[in-house]
Amino acid sequence: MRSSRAANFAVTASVVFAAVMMILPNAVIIPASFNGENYITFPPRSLSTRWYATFLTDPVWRSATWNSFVVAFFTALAATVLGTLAALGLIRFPPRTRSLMVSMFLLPVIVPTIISAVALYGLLAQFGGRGGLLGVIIGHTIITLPFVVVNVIAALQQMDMRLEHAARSLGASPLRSFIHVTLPMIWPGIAAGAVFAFLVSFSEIVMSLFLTGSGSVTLPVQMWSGIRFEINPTVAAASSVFVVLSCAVVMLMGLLRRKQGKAVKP
Amino acid sequence: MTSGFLRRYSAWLMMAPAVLLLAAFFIWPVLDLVRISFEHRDGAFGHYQRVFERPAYVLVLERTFLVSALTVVICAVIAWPVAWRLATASKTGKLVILAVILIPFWTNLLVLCYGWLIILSPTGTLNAALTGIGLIDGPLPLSGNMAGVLIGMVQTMLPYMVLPIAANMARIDPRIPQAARSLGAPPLQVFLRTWLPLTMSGVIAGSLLVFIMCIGFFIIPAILGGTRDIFIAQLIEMNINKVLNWGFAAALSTVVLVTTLVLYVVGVRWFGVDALWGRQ
Amino acid sequence: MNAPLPAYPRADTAAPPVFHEKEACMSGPDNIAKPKMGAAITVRNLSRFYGGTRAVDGVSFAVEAGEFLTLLGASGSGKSTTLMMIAGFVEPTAGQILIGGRDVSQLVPEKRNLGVVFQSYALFPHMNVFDNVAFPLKMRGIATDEIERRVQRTLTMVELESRRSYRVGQLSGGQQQRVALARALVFEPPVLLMDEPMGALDRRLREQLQRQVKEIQQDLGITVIYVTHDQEEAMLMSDRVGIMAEGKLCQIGAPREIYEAPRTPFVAAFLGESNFLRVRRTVVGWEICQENGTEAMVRPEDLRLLAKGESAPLRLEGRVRQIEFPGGAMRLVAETAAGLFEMRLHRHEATGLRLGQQVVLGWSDRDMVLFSDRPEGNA
Repeated sequence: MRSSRAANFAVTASVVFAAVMMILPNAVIIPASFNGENYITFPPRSLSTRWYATFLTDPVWRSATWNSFVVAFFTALAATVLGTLAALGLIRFPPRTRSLMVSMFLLPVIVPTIISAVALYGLLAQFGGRGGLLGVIIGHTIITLPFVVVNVIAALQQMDMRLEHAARSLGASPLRSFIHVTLPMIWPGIAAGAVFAFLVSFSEIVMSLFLTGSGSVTLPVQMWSGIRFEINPTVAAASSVFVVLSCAVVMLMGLLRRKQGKAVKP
Repeated sequence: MTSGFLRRYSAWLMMAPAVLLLAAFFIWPVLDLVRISFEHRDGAFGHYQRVFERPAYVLVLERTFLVSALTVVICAVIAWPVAWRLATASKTGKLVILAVILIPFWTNLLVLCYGWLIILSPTGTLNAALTGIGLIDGPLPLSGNMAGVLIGMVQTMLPYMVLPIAANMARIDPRIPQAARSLGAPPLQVFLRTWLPLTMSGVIAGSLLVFIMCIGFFIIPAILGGTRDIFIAQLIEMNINKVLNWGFAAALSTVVLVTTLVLYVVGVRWFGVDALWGRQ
Repeated sequence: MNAPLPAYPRADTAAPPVFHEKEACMSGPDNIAKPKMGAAITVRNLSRFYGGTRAVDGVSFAVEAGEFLTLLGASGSGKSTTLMMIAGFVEPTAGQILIGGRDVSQLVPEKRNLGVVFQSYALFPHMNVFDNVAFPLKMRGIATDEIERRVQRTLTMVELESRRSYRVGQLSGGQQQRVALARALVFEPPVLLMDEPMGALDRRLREQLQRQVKEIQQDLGITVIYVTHDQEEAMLMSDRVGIMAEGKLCQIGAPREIYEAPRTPFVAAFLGESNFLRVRRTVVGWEICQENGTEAMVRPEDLRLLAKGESAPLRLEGRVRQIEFPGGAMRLVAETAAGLFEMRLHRHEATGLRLGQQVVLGWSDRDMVLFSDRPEGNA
């Protein structure tokens, strides 16, 4: 009896340890960002919003934030369209072939980003395409595509694919059967993929480090130089933007998951 | 006839745009990188000789693999009880644990590193607290070295270890350990003879996944690590941006790539590593 | 329910009433006087291979306009694949499908104009009953008031007009089945394909729906191809039944014809209970033998117990192994020289029979089916 209580205690202790470890770095960021000093500390010595003011007014930070939004928007768009199409194709293969193909589509998340970034950097440098936003968007689309594919496939797997057959037998063309039957049932999955692609692209750093030029610095790249080359507490203000964004995305994803569950249920 | 063609190959046609994008901007450049790695004036393996013969580079390889392995072990030790709690918790409990465990999954890596930097730096929260209560005299070296890297890596990788183990546990019939107890096994034996072997495939899947992701890490060692004890990814970056030795960077990349792909194939083939993405 | 049977029932007199009723519609579509909207279907040499597996292997049959044909077989026999090829969802490896004389093999499903009722219905979960049924009309660009009228009419036909704004999930299994039927019929297709439509329903509901489907089919004069693994359902509903096994069509014919004259032992065993033995013709009649001789089959209900001194064209001595009462008739299993023999007895007949008791089974040569002198293989 005593040993099982000790085991139980050990389990609880490691869960608490893990939880503290998970929460800690996030928890210090927002209070630290309201620090009034010239260097960052937690707990903050004095309170001020000066770093937010810098973040919101400094043209460097502003343009980086704008670039990130532009990149993330077009990345999400491209990845969602291509990924949804790919998922609709993949679902038509028998399960064994499909799972093999899906694991191929997952390669961009498995291969370390540093490698795909260096490789794409080399390719774009050859053709003079390096440094523009388009290159970054292409790089991010590569990385985010798997997430869209996986999300849409998951939605499609919840759906009875014979519903498409039913629609066809009732006179709907493939396109109309997609619009009237498939889309209403899988849109939450597609939306979840798009939201996720947006978040991943918005936060992506390694690809961006290699592919951005002076005119196309994204927010994470700007933060990177803020952390590495100057001790700049504006990074904390920028970080809290990410914390808020992540929270919003998590809630949105939860909502979409529930919607997906409802969409396929009769 | 055209419509017959469209019909027969519709699935392939729908995949075509994505496949073409990946082929042109991912597979082709990566293969090209592999090709460059064999271009050296001293023969095809010139770069590889440097990688595996210069002690400084061997040290980087060793460090990367060792720290990655250590991360795997620490993650597994923490993740197993967490997964157990996750599997046995009530519905709300599950949700709470899952939400907390998935934090690093949703958070920007830079933000996490920056947070750790605030906590771990010599003037950071932890050192200030410890000196404050008189436990230590001078600040502990917790960042700018392997300790910092390890803390950061364990945190970010923990979800990738917990999820496969928890998925594996969820599939275990709870009557099996019960049966073991009814047959007279004491709790420790029940654990050693049912739970542990039954969850092994989840642990291995998680370990493969974590190891694969660790050996390519760039951001965490760059921010939380020291300037001298660098990882392979940093060596690659240096050779691209500072030394401008593409061939050598390509050779290093190929080493990481081959290791990654071999482990991934093993993971997919025998441990369902790719199922993780389908399930989350 | 049943009238008391004579003490020694013979096959022709013991048939349940429903069996006689079936004869009216069994004799084929040519005596159906009703105006028909059905179309004839011809399937020629239809095959579908998946790698080395032959899911459907050279199936040919013709269905006349207004006929009800059932493809009966175990799972994996190729019956559903055949149906899905006719519907256009599975591309044939070889062969031809003609509907109303037109080759549709190259046509996409939506151009074939067939009503399909899917296994577990495939109703659109995000639409209510009305929208489900209206879907095919909307796809055909029919005006709203016309859609309203026709959906209403079809829902009335399946007795669901009161449920038109219900969500699919709010309906019972039987109601869902009827919505699926309404949806497949509302655009008045000449042919209705049904793939195990009753599979998910309980027995009582199934019988009720079988009757309803049959009535609707006869009212509309529509051609039906029905797929099921339930032999009773097949016998009850169909004008003709096609037995499928391992991708091949073994035999096709009216239910009673197949039951009374199965072409192979497989068909005999598949459709109803059967006792197999070997017989040889002698100068005076028949002789039961062990090795050579012709393979033969006799149905359990055609056997009777012979009293002492009573004679029959064929007789077999045995010992009682089992007496069971599954409801209805008693089932007696006897151990004989030709193996285990099963027969039916009326309850009163079985009183006094004990396990191990010696009995003599007798039957008429008219009720016996001989196999080996017929060519085996496809219909």
